[in-house]
Amino acid sequence: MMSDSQYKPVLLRNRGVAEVRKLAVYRERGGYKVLEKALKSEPAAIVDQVRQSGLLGRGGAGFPTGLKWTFLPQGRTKTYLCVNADEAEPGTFCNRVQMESDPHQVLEGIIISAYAVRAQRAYVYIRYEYPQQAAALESAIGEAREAGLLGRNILGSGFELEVHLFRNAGAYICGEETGLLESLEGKRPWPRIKPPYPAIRGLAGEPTIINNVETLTCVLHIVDRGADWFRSLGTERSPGPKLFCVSGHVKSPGVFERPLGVNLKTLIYECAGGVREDRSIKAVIPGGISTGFLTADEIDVPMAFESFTREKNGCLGMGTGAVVVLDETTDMLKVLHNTARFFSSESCGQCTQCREGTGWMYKMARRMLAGGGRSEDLDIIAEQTERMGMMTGQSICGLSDGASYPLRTLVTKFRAELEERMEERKAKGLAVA
Amino acid sequence: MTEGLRGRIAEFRRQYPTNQSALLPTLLAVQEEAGYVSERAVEEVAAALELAPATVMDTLSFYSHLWRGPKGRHVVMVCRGLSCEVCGGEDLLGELKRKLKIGEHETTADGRFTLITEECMGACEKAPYMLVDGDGYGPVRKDELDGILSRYA
Amino acid sequence: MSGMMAEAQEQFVEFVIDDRTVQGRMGDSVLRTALDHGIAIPYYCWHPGMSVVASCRLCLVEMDDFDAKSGDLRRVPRLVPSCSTPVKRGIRVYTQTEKVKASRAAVMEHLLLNHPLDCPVCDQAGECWLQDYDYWHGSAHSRMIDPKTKQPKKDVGEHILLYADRCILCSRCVRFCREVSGGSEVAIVNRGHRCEIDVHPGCSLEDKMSGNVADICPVGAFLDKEFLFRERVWYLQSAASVCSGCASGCTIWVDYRDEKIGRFRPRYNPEVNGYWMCDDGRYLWKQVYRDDRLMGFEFVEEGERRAVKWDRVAEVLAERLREFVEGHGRGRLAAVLSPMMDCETIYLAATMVRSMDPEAVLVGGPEPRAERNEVFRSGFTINAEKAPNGRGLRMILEKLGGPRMTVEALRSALAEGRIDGLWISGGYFDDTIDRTFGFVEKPGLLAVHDTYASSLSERADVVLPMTVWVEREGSFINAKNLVQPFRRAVIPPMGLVQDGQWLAAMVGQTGVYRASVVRKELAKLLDGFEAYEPPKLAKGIH
Repeated sequence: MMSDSQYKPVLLRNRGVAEVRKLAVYRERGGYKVLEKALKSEPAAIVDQVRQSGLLGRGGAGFPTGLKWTFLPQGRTKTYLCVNADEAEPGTFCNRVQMESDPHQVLEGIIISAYAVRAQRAYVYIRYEYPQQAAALESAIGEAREAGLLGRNILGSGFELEVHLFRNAGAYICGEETGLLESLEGKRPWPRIKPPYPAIRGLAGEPTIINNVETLTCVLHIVDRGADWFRSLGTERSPGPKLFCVSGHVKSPGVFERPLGVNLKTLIYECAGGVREDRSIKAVIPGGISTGFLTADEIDVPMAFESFTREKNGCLGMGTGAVVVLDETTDMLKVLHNTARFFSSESCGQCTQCREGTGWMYKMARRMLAGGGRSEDLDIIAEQTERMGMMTGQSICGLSDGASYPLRTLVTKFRAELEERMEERKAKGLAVA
Repeated sequence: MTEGLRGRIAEFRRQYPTNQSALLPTLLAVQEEAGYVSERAVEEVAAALELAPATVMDTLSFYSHLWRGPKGRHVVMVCRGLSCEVCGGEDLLGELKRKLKIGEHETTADGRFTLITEECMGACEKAPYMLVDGDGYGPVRKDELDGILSRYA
Repeated sequence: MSGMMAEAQEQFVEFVIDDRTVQGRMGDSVLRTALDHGIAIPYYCWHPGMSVVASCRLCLVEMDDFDAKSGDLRRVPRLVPSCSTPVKRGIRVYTQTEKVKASRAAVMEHLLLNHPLDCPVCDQAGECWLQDYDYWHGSAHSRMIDPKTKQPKKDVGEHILLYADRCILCSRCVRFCREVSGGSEVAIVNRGHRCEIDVHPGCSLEDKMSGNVADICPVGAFLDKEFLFRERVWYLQSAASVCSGCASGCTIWVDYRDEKIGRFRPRYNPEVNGYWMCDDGRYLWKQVYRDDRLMGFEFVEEGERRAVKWDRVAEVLAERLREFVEGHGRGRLAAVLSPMMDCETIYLAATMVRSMDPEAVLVGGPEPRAERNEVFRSGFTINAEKAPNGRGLRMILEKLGGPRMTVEALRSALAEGRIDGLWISGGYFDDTIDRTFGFVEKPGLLAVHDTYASSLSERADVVLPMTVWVEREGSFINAKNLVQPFRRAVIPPMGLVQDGQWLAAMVGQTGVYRASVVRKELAKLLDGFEAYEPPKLAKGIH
């Protein structure tokens, strides 16, 4: 395991070079050479390479990318690649940084991956709140088209690809694979029942691969440096580099690229400069709000997919690797309210327990902030989050799981404080914020 | 339904895989032109895309940033995500409400600003963060607000 | 084994639900198979006539399935929705485990969190799936002390109201309008716990299948305006009947209480109407209560109208007819039979007239028609022929043979004085009788067998009130040549009897009229005449 300062970024290799958004500068720095290399291999060979690399999806679910690609039916005539740029998991902003600062690298990863899965069309599904990033990508796509890196017969290889942006209009659930597809089809973005999985029947009924922006950039580097190189970084089960976002009560919030397996404490204290005012930590989210909350004694843990389980620390996996640090001054009741509000606002409404459960949690949290909270409300939340998502399979998608884990970790790990805060507010008869 | 809009709809139908795919980009385009999507616009879009008006209404009503009624000339979107909340987001929102003299989802009397909040906007390292139309600002200090708002007529 | 038997065997797979071994049809869901075997897994969003969405989460069950690697049967870690899980040989499904029960209780509690609980004023009470399922699977208490989310009451169509606060978002209404009727008038708006059902302003539920939406709504959200506050459903009894509105012959239930009709509902029929019926037929029960009904048997004697009690009609009418035939001779009487009548009544009337005058002319009455069939997205059809038994009429008259005429020919015959006795059958709900037989001047004898008053009945020598079909038993032959029987639902108004009662008496049958007796005769007359009862829908499928 290399020390923190030894690692040389690859995903963020062009960081600090403002002009790299322009094609000419990107190319000067080696851009699109990997595409050239990829186009000389067979698509199946690239799929194999990605499989060998053990790359796990970076969008939150951590599903093996190469395996997902092999689900595509052999004799298919049409394939779509959807790039999930709907990054909306609270705490996460690394895709954004990639798109605004190095859009050509993002695009190159897309083209290579599209070639590997034999897609003729790729859609970049981008969130509404990233207008500047969408513009940066549009610009890059325009330059690429003009330069023959997109369209017909790319670089003389015979490969043809069109890339279009598709804008969300404000809904977190569109970051779920099949919610994304429904949104792209112009329908109410209610996630689909699975099976069938998108690789079999996806966009407009055709075989479709949906991958996160960062995942596809990893593909670029796997093709460039090989699966062995990828495996040499990270852990056995979580190989490769990862973009970690650190925010909240830290001195230098930002995106940090490290091999998977880096200790969470390293991210907080070395990369992000430690806690503001050198305060002590009260709680940390390890991978976006859906993963749940860790106490201060639980942060000595390697940032890898296998480190976060319900049994080990009550967490729903490593998620997006988006770390949010909350210091000792944090009001955990407000955190509960924020969490409950988020999920009730973003629940799509399709499944009974998620729709009604998140709504109920939010009403309770509001009442708690207003001074009407009771101890039994916390009991109800603990029990509901047992039924709502922790008992897996309750809903069509994972949003209800994502709602359960943070709420449950809050009421189990921070119960005493929550009771105290409720009492305080009851005594003061506070109005809702 | 302007000619320009019809042209854009045709382009959307070419770019995206199904007829109904064009619906969301069309609604965004209508909103760009008219500020919001009226009942009449729903019917015209439905006719243009050969969809039932209720289907258009279904999609339209789901998304946070599609408006079914008028909004101000400029939208001030303040992030209410966790990182922003714990880094002064509440204060920022409170200050904006005081300055603009409106609450959430309301528009100033002169029609200049509409104030809304949105869940995590993906700029947590710049907390507290806000978008005014397509421009991102963060970390925003309260004393910077006047300067920022003055850029938008 | 022969090839056909082997093929038939391949269509079923054997698996286990709880401790029962069941046969599931390939392609069916676990839920469907369970229901077919009388195993009551609760559900809301699933409907056999529409697409599967698996969104209510009430039908979740535990299951043992085969591990992909080892091939062993092992418990699937997630609960699976039985509505979207296909049957598979060898799986084991558990519907009564602790996990399943907890899941159901959770769903029920959630659905009732924001529910107004206004059962005392809700039409759905007594056939409400919230009531039933909460009683069986839920609890009597709600733990939420916060204010309920309230949605408004909406007028969404000519016949339909939406009390949106009772809605449980099963989306059956949305899928119905999209997949069955094709109108797509109903949609879900907003997101999450703010979801509600709505229609676009100005585009309400106006198509002719709108009434079905109230049927399929498991709760009292969608309501039929015509049934609003009319009747408590637990007082209703149901008679299996067939609609009289057109030649489609949708099978229906007539729900009644103490001889008063509450409503019509569709009765499942895989060969005719599936799960549906149209609004024209659905509200046809109102025809029973029109105030222009003929309410008594009347004979004109010596220029005066005299009422005759029903038990003397056979005798008086027979005498009257005999008198006419004796006075005018044979072949001077024409009997117009109506396609609104059932096969048995047509047969009795025709044979009765011929028994009085073997050369009586039989005429097939007018059939009101619309311009064309109305076909909906799923294939459900409202037939252009607006009479239920045109085929029955034609087939019976053809087989009976003897002197026949069309209405046009009858008109000439009357004008030329070749016919001077008329027996006209009606039963139309519109003004067909007035429009068609306006040419009739005063013949030697005018007998009118009809339901509603007309210019003809006013001039008639003999007025024989025809019951509305729900007041008698019989059968219709529909556009697909299916003989569909219907049972009597209510008794006719005071003073009237089933038409068969006096008709049969005139041809020597005594006792209380039974259509089944006449059917035996018809079976001899018409090849393949056998009444077809549609298969019963599996218990619990609505």
